[in-house]
Amino acid sequence: MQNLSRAVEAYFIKNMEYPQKLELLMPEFIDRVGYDPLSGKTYQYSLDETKGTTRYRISVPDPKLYNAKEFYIEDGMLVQK
Amino acid sequence: MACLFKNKFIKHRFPAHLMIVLSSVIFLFFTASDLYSQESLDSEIAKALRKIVKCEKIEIKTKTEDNKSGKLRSLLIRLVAMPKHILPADYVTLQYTNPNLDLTALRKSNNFKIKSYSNFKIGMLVSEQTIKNEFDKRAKRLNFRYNKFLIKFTPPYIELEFDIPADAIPLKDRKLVEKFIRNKRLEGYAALRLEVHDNKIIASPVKVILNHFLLPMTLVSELKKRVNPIYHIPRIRPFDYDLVKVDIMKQHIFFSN
Repeated sequence: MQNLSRAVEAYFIKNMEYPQKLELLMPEFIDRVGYDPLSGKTYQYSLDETKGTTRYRISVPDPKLYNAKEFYIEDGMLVQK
Repeated sequence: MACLFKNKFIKHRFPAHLMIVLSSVIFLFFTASDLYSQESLDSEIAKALRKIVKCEKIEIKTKTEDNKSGKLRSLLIRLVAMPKHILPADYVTLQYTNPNLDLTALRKSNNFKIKSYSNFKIGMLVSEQTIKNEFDKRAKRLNFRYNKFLIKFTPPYIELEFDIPADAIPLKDRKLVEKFIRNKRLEGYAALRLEVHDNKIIASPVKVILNHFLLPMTLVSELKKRVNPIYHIPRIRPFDYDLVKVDIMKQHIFFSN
């Protein structure tokens, strides 16, 4: 998830906007999007625009598997609740 | 009098469709003027920056808080293809949140100045090809001879494959690896990680093989001390920042604050 987050940020540096989907990071920034190791499902990705700034969020599909209610990276910050 | 107005209004009442057309025109006028002013601000910032930042292209994106105040919520600056002799970066993007621009300085003397901001991010991308070109240029300038020098990005490492005549290396450094020299050549492989501290790039070799010998870590640490910092990233004026993070990606090195 950390690698995906850095790739999303690198995409932003090049394009001045975040990718609409993680697949757009391929092939320039990553080889493949990959799967969450515990659930085997793909990571969830969303964009949110509040107060004029766009934030991205990459979340694990099933946070319960990590003993958490929420487990995601938002704007480079890892959040586990 | 009131009666007269009332009668006049009733007599010359605006037809509903005319009211709609008029309000649409007024709305369009205000929207257009707002769009114009935002575009105009973007180009004014770009123009001011072009005076001091020499690169191929400068792009600006601003977002305002609302249509009335004109207060900026965010300012994005993208610099494309920085001049190689200053900073070999392909893309540099700066992101200010809630910037307070000195509009007087911008409009009167075409100077870019930010009085305050709530958050600031900077990121730089340097491509693998740019690194290779930069290495070739420096090697030529320093008259550094080599038979082979390959640079490959394998995240999280940079891999080097080299074949260098022993006498191309300064004597004091050559002494350090003397017992690994074969046929007056240093042929081998190195895997490096990069670190960045205070805008200086530090190369951390994790594995070095010279003429089929794996170098002991004590020697690798000594080499690390001697070669570092490998590069001092110059500050792009008028911006003020410290780069602290670096990632080796598939085709780029990504620096950020």
